[in-house]
Amino acid sequence: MSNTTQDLSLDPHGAHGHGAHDNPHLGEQFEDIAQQYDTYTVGMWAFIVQEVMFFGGVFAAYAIYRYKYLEAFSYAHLELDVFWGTVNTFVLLFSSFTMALGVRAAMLQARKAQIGFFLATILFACVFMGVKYVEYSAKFDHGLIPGHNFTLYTEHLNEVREKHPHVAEAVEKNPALVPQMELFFGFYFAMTGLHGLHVLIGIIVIGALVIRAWINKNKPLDYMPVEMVGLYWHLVDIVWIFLFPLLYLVGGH
Amino acid sequence: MAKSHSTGGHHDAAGHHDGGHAHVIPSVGFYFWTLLVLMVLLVLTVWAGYWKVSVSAGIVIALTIAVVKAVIVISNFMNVKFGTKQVWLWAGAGFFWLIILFAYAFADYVSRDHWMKYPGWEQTISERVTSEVSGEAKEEGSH
Repeated sequence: MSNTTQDLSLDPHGAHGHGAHDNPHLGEQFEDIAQQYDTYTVGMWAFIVQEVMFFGGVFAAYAIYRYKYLEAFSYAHLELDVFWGTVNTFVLLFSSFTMALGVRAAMLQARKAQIGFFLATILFACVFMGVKYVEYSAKFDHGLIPGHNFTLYTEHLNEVREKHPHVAEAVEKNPALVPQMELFFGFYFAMTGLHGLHVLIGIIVIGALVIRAWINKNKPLDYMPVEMVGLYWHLVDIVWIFLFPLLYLVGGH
Repeated sequence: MAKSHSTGGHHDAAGHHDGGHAHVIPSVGFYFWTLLVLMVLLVLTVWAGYWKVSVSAGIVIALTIAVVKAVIVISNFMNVKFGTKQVWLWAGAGFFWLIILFAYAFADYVSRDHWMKYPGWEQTISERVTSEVSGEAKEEGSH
């Protein structure tokens, strides 16, 4: 393989010459920056496909139990707050927008704009986690923690009766629904918990990119790490796009 | 094979060519419109959640909107729209896998009610072997 490197201006608007000076951002195993770019992108997509398979397994398990315990899951999901779910979807979609703009700024070597958009993305991510904290606390208070204090449908059935009389009636008629409803909340915490963990990792990695951009304020930077993190962040958004309707909405209100 | 930049009027098509590769940088407007469409679809998702339809119809509606939203995010925010064929292949492979996973899993679970009509199908092979062996032992004992 030839070791010649090409002149690969980091400014995408710049001249796309093919001179032979060393580009500090080009790995020696690559012919040129385009090949390096393609390799990075495909590698990241391989990781994303792995994530799709990982979440896919959990979604499949949820879908199967939703099918098997249709009635119980339809009752249990009424305890989820559609308002907070909608707010969080809005926040995550908006964070994907600021992330895309941040990646764009990085491509254009617009360092200040990049830092600004990334800080906005981190802010939205923190709002998302804050809303999750509010929701999780409410589940603790209501006795909806599987295996720990799942007492809403046994000890506090009157509370259910006030809001959803048909659910209380069904549970009284058929107590076998309760462990099935507990399973729904098992899925709820497992799925949103795994997703929340991804958000948390996203906050840390985007934070690292902000520091990297800050330290190298006046230097041209390879934007590929930024684009890779961008892909990861959009994946986190996509997972939520499916989680929100399947957990909060499906089954009627 | 420099990729054409004329894939629509939204992005400003600033790009550079290195060894036949074109890297498109979409415009702010392109991302803004993408966000706007996603927001409209979010409103539609929540609204549809309150329609008086059966659970299965609700799932189909919710999933259809979710898939449309995901495709928009993958295409526009993740820039697959401007990606190489190899990226398209990888992006597609992940979701093709999901189709296989769901098709096979549900082919099993949905058909179980049908096979319930035929007693004995639910026995695992080990159970069957155990019952056959004990059956043979009984036969031997009766001789």
